[in-house]
Amino acid sequence: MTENIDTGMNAYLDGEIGPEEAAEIEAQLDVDPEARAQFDAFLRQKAQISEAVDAMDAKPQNLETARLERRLATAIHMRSTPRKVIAFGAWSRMGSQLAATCAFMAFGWWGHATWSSQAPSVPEYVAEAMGAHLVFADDILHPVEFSGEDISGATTWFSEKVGVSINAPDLSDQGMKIVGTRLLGTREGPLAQFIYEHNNGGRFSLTLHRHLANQPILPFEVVEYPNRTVAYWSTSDIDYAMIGAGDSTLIQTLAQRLGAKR
Amino acid sequence: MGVRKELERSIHDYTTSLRRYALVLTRNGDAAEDLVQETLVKAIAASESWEPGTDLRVWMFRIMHNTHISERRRHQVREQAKPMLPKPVDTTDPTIRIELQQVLDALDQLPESQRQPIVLIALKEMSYAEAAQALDVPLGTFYSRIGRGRIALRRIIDDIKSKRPKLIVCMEKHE
Repeated sequence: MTENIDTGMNAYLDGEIGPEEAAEIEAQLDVDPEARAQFDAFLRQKAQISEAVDAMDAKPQNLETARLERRLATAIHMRSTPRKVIAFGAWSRMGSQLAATCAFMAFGWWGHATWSSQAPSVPEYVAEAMGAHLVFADDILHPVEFSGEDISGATTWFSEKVGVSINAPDLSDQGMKIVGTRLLGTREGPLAQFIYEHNNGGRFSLTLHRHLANQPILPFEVVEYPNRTVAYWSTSDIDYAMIGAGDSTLIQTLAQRLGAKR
Repeated sequence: MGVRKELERSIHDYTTSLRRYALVLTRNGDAAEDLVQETLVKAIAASESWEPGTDLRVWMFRIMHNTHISERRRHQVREQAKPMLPKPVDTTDPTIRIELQQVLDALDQLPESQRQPIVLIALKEMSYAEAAQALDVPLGTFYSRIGRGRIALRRIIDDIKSKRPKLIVCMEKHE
């Protein structure tokens, strides 16, 4: 039996392979008695380990452990909840709810999370923008999809895909240099992401999404997270989200400047 | 359900998973509870290092893994657990009890690097990718360790079974 068969067999046993590979392994097991015996033994081992733990794990919950669980929940909750919300306009009453929901939606971006809140009032593009920022903008080594001179051509393509005219805003007067851009697919349609680098080395991302006619036009809002700040707002044709680390004042300035340029 | 309540429930579920994992690692209920509590204490202290958007469960398992493999913990827990073997497993059917005990005994003979992947996957707590992350090894290494570990475990179990004393019944002749 080769190591490849062993590797495939383990992955098959643990549900780690797709249907086509699974069919190959099953065919192999049908004609190879040694492999079948090995597979059956592995299957038995796995089931017995689980059964053995079930047999051992019969005690009621330890009170000290329960207390520590609650303390950890408090610490993690503080870590993932925005510290403050600066709201502009009539939507300020939604601020804290929206902020908390955005924080938890970020847990669930692209299905990577193990738990998330599914509150219905979330502007989904903001959560998508936060997820894209965490993956792409914060990673200095990750290549951008378009950079340098390609950015200009990319925006034409983006405009066609997103369905409205999109340009890479020039923020050089704010010490910001555009370093790249990419187009992302989301459940609500394409999302264009522009990544900027500030003079101080900080990374910022601006994401643009076609404003859906059946959605409200969001006034300008700023939400602070432990390490990042998000500003988001809408116009009649585009939804914006500006995200960056640290200084919320800078994010507000940049976002308001973009709003004024529009 | 509120966000905070949902978080509490998730952490409780993750802690239950940690305890099951710790039970196999330590083979002792009290030592397993100690390991879980130490993990939670460290997680609380290190909560600022947890990055929102990353998998909280994997992060907690990684803390437990690091705690367990520390020399002090390994020595204390394993040495304390040994005299209590083979007590932990208790089922009504003696044949099953013996088989489960054999699996745990065989697991104890594996190197730590092979034992942990096998246990994590057997407890159905994680995918390969998540478990590799929790154990802080590349995915290829994880594949290799679980494969070699299972083969080694099979050999050890077969060996234990072959050495098991057999009951010999002597029949007296009645003339």
